[in-house]
Amino acid sequence: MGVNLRGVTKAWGKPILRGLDLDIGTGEIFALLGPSGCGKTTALRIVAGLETPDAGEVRIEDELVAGPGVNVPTEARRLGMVFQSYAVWPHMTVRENVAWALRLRGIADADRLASEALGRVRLVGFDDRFPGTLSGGQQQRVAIARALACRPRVLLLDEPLSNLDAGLREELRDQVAVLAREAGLTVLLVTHDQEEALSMCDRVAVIADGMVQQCAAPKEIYLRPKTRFVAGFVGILNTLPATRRDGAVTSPALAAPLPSPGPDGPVEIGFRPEAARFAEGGAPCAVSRAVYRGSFTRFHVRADNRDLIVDGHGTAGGAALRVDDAWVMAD
Amino acid sequence: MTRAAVLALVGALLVVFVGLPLGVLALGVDDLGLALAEVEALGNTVLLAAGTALVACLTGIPVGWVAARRQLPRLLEAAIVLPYAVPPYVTTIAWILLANPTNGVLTRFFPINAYTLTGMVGVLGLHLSPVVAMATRDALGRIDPSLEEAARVAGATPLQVIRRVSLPLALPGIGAAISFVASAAAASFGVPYLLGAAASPPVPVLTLRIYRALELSPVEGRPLAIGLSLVLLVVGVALPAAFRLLQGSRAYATARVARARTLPPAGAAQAVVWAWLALAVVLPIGTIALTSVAPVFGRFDGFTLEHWAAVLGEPRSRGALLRSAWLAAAAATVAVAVGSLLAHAAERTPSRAVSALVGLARAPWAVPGSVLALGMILAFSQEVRVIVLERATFAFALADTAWLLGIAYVVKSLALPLDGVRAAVRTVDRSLEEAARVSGAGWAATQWNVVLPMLRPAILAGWALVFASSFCEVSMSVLLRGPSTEVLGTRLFELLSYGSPQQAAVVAMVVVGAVLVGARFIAAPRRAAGGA
Repeated sequence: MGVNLRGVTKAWGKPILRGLDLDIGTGEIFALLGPSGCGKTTALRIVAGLETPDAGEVRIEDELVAGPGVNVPTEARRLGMVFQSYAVWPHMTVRENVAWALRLRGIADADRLASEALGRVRLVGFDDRFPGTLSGGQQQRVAIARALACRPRVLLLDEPLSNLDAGLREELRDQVAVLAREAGLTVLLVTHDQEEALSMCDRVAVIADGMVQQCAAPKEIYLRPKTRFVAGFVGILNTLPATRRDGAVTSPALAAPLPSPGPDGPVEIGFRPEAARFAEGGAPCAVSRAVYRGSFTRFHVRADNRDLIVDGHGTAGGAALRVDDAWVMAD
Repeated sequence: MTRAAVLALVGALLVVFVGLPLGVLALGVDDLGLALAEVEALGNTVLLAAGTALVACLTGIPVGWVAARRQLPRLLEAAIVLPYAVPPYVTTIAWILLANPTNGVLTRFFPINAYTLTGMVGVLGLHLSPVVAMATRDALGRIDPSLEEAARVAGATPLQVIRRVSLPLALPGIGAAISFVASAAAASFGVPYLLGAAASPPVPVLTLRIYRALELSPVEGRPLAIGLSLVLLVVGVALPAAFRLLQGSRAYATARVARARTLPPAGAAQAVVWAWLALAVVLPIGTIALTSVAPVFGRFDGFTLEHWAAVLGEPRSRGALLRSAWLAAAAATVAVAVGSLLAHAAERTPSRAVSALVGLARAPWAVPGSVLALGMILAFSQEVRVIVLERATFAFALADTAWLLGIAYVVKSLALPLDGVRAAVRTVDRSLEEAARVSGAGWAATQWNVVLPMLRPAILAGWALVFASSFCEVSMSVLLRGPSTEVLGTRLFELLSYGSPQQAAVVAMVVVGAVLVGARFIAAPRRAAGGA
């Protein structure tokens, strides 16, 4: 089902992937999120067949496409892919770009279907233009139409929106998610933009050093990160000291004790800037700086000898801090 | 002297030494009938150009492909330029030894004969194939790898990717190289002179006919030579230009963030490059090297330095060698100075006058050597006397002097340093100069301390290119040299035709040596530029 990676390793001089395991369900929109050089693009290219793994197995819809003695060539894997650099063939017209891809799959009536596919990404009237005359956003729409038109078994997105302006990025992100859901496509997205991963996907795998750090739904990744790295990579991380006794963690800042199994003793809690507020009876704190950011105000706060960031809606801070939602740091 | 005055002087010299010869030639056309009657030469020239382009493509495109898609050993990568760096008449000598009908070494085993149009096509095609190979390599290297990967993912087989994506994208770059090769073949003189003229029946081409017309009768032959020149210009310059227009010069905008390609190790693919180098360089030059030290001509056993001693000890050959060396050095120095000046002016203070001068300076590079030489003869064969105040008389009599040869060398290859330095100036951000000016450096100090050091690689490369092409020059030299101004190329031809082919082999080895030294100079800055 979907895409399965088992113990996939790859090295170029130094190890890139060290035994990567992933299970992506059919129809799921799944993100590989990580800093540049973490191996996420290599993993995607291995699924595409553009690289061969040194060891391990890759299955697409239960078909073994890469493994010991097996390497199904890229063109036979029936995938769709959108590249960071658009990769729209500059010597073909916009329609030809989509139609050729359809013809390669042996689909009849390619020209009409290509025009339809372009219509779905809201590119009307561009059919006979050459890509060189299109803006970056328009070119990426062509690439998306091309990838979607062939009804691929898996849609691979390699940092598809990184080259676009912020506004356009958000618009296109939503469109791709909607189109993929309508078509019931399995999507594998590679990105270093946590907002993109969290907003588009059903599940996110955070990758570092060629291994999965955590694989979960966006909300869990954001609010219950398993490691300090994941917590810091997907958002702003605040930490405060706390104490665990009899399976519950308490701290002056915590509004309610956190159930947490484990030995008694000092622990650390983590929380997001928007999970804290200024309230009487919390942990004593001092606001060092308040920066007005439009829809909220960002307070730089000092509490328990730590620098914290609190996002709130007032313009003035307070002398005590309350944390409504937190997790216990594992390391 | 101010900058403007220097430019004005350069402009005046360009008008006299470029504008005048080409203008006189154009105005001198009065009867094209004679030239158009030379149907055979015209047909052979077209066949030579087309055949050479075909051979250069068949050998150059695979080599370029391997160079673009495989990690070649550094030295092998650098060696790709070699067949082009060695003048074709040098390899021709080897092919004469290897494939002549009487005692050719290879003729015993294969039915090949160098003295044919096919032989000329083969030699010139191999000589010019690096142009196609390097153009292919660069054009393929510029393609964003994800364009090919996207095709693979979409379901195209590797072969379909080549046919529908890689080749169409690389074609504009390769096409320009092909038309250059065709022009160069049509303009070539040395190979047709050595192979075509001696063939039975002879294979005349236009350059050869121009030479013969002037050789037979320097004055009466002129109308025919002028007419032939015009025909050659059309074949060698206008046709490729038309081809380029037809093909269209659509430059495809590729993504700004093209991912770097990780090239797989060359492996077996480098055999393609090795085989090609063996045929185009190792075999011919090895043959010449062995011939130059063989006691008995045509046999490759034994060793003697007598031919080397004969050439270096004999005044004519030694004189020709030295004359070529200093003429080439002087021509290179002047060409680099003028070229750099124009390049800088064109980039930093562009104006209509400057671009006209640049156009004038670049034009001769596209004009076949035989045609340019004819223009020089027409413009400067008469003595010009300038009498000042009825006292001092200045006589300009350039014909048959080394001066005219030197001027021709400069004029012919001005485009090389001009284009090279201009490309380098373009990469030097103007703000670097402005920063020096703001910091208090004057114009001269800025040029000397900031601009010149950054242009040095391009200037050196330009110098080496002009030196190499002038040192080995033959198609203009045969027409412009006087009785006492023999140069290396013409001496080589004479030795080959009337003297000792083994001494010719020695002279050829000297040329090869100069080329190898020059190639190092040319290759070095390119590497530096690539690393920046």
